[in-house]
Amino acid sequence: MELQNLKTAVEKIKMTDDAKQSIVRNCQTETVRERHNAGHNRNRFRKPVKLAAALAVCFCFAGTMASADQAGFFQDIHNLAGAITGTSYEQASEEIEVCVEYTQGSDVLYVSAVFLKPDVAPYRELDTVSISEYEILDASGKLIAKGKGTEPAVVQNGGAVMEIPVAHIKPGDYVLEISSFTGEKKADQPLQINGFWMCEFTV
Amino acid sequence: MKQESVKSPEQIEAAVYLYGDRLFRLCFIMLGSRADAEDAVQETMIRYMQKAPAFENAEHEKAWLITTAKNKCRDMLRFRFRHPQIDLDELQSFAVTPSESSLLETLMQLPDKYRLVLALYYVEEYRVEEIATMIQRSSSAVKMRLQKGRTLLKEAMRKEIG
Repeated sequence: MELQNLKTAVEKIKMTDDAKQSIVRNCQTETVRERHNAGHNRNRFRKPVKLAAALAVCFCFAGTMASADQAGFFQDIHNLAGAITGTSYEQASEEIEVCVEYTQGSDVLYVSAVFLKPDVAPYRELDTVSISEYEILDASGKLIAKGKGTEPAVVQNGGAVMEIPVAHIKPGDYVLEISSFTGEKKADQPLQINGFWMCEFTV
Repeated sequence: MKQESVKSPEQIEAAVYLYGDRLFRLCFIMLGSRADAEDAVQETMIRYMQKAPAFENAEHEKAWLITTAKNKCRDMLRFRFRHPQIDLDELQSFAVTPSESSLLETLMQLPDKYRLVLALYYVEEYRVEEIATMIQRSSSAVKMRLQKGRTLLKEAMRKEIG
C-alpha cells in the first residue's frame, strides 16, 4: 500500500516556476560567460547569480604529492630553559586536503579540511579544528589579508568546514595560504598542526 | 556520444521545463532541502548545456540527466560532510494529505542509497538494469537495495501507525 502511494506522494515534489526561470536565466548567462572566456584559456568559471542557497566555485589542494603515506610527526615544543611545554604535529601538508568554496556575494570563504587518514593520530582524536594562521595574497603575490585563529569547527566524517571573513576583499583572483591548523580534543591541550596548504579562489 | 555545439537558449529552456521537476524530485530526495536541490538541478543543467552530447532518443537524454544529477548530489553530500538536514516544513509543503506527508517523511529518513533506488524504481519506473547503469552498481545490488528499502519503509510506516 505504501509503495503504491509512494509514487503519488513523491510526484508532488516540484520546483516553483520562479526557480525554473532562474535556472534558465543562469544557464543563459553562463553561455555568454563561456563564450567570452573561450579565448582566454580559462579552465574554471564563476557561477552566476545565486539561487536560494548559492552555487560556489571550489578549489582544492592536497599536498605537494598525491601520496597516502603519512609523512607527519609529533614534535616536542621546548621553552627557553629547555623544558617541554607542549607538542606540535609537523609536516602535515600531505595528510590534509584543503578546499575553498566561495559563493558570489558572500562575506565568507568556506575552507574545508579533509583528513586523508582520519583513523590515525592525531586526526582520529580531534573534536574540533580551526585555522591558526593564514594569509590571502592577490594575483601579483601582494599580501591582502592575514589572520590568526578562526572559529573552531566540529570534526565530522573525517573533516571540518571553517570560515574566513572576506567581506573587505575586492573582486579578483586570490590565493589562500594556510600554514597551521589547531586541533582540539576535550580536556586536552590544543594541538598545532603545521604544514603548507594553498588554494586559489576568485571573488 | 558525439559533441554538438552549445545548446541554444530555447533548447535549455525546453529542457528545464521538460526535466526540471523530475530532476528536482530526485535531488530533493537525496539532499533533503529545496535550496540544495535547486542548486543541484542548476549544476546539472549547466553541465548538460556545456557537454551538449548527442542522444539516441529522449529516454537516453533523460537517463543521462538523472545520472548527472545523482552524481552532483553525491558530490554535494561529500563536500558538506553531513547527512542532509531534512526540512519538515518544506516536505509538508509538497504533500496534499497527512498520509502523503507521513510517507514522504518516512522516505526521507531512510539512508540516501535506499531513497534513490526506491524513487527511480517506483516513481520514475526504471527497470532494475537501467537503475544499475545509472548508479553504477550491479543489478543484484539494486535488487538488494530495493528489498531493504521496501522493508525499512514498511517497518517505519508500521511504527508510525502503531
